[in-house]
Amino acid sequence: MLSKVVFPTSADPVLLEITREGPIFIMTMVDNENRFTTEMCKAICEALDHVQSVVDDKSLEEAVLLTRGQDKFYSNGLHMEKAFSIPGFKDHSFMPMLNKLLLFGIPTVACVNGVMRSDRGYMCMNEIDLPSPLSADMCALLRYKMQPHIYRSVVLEAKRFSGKDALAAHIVDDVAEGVEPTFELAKQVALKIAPKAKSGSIYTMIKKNMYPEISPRHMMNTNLKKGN
Amino acid sequence: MTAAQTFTLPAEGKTLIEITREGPLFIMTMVDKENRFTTEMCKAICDGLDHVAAVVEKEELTEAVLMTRGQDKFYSNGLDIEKAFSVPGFTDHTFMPMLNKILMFGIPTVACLNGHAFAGGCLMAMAHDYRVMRSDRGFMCMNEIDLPSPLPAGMSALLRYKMHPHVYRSCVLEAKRFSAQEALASHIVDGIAEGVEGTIELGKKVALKIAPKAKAGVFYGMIKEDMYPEISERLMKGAKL
Repeated sequence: MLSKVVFPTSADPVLLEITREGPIFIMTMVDNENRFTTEMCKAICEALDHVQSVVDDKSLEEAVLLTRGQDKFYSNGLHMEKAFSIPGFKDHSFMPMLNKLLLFGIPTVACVNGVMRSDRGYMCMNEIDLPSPLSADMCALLRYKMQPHIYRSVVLEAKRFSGKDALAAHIVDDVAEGVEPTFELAKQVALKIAPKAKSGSIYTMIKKNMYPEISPRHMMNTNLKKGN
Repeated sequence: MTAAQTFTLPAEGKTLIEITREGPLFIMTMVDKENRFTTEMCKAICDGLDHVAAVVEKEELTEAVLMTRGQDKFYSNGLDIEKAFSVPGFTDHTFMPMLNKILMFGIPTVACLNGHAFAGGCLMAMAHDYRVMRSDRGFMCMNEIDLPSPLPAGMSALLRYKMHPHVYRSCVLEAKRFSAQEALASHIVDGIAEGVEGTIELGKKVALKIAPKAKAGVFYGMIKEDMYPEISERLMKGAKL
């Protein structure tokens, strides 16, 4: 697959671009703030299906998904207006998309261009300041991946983590300065982990048992299946 | 048992476990070469645990601790692939319940990693309350992802409760080999020392320090059941021990 594939496939505007460099499938979110709407969640899920089908069709033994934004934002979160004008958006679109990513069948690396770069940007969960509830499933996702005292400060304090803070807290694996070096670093990390794709369908199986609390109802695949 | 006695298991056939006693320390030595888990090995370990629990109860000990160890190169190299998988349901019926018995044991437990702890051996070590590891040789590793083989939810939960999330991630998804130094830095072992004898001495120091907690009696096991609530349910779902 040499060319760029865009999502959504049959509508404007383009929200995602998928390119490939060897075993690395690069998903670039190309909108300004990459905020989550129904269209964005659907585009991500379709793109994930696309990558999985390429991996399966070619029986790739080395494969990794690398996601990134451009410039200032990885993603600024839910599109407040659009997301909340749709009843059940979180349950029907956003959570299933997160779950699909969490359990994806090949290793995944997030290149947090807005913050994994050490010189700019923050990771933050600011629900407590809005204020807005944080569903049990979203909490579980954070809880599974963060040390308890970090989780507490992330959720209850809306603590802002710089790249340096995030590294010290072990919520990112590495940092670099500037957008391009962060991307290069992410590719290095990705190349190192790509051979684990050889485990095939067992990769997702192992992850399902690693993170069992995430509600089974969010396992619903809300994407278009191939052939539909 | 007196300090002089060695209690071996199983009662008949090849000895797999030797239990000796030094004051409050009950030392369970796995004496096979790679200490791989078979039905016989799991039963021997469980019988050994029952024996220690019976002595503690009979003597009403207020200081007691279980120390496990291998000899030389291996703590345990995991499941005996051939034997374990020729027995249907081995993992559910035998291996996971054995892990649970160690996890919930009624007195403090210390694993002395004299050598490699791979897969099932790593799980056995993590089921203990404390771990010390030989610093100059040997690794801890969960290599299921490289076989590849699934990792049942009960086993995953055991690791998840005992490891930092990013360490858990690397342990399970990367089959990362942890040297003693890395295991110490990651907080998956409590201390490291050079050589087998050095490791055992350190294990005994850690054990003696924690032995007085046995005074909690039945509450020790009960507290652990509530510390690790998801695990028992998953480890015991197919138990036939």
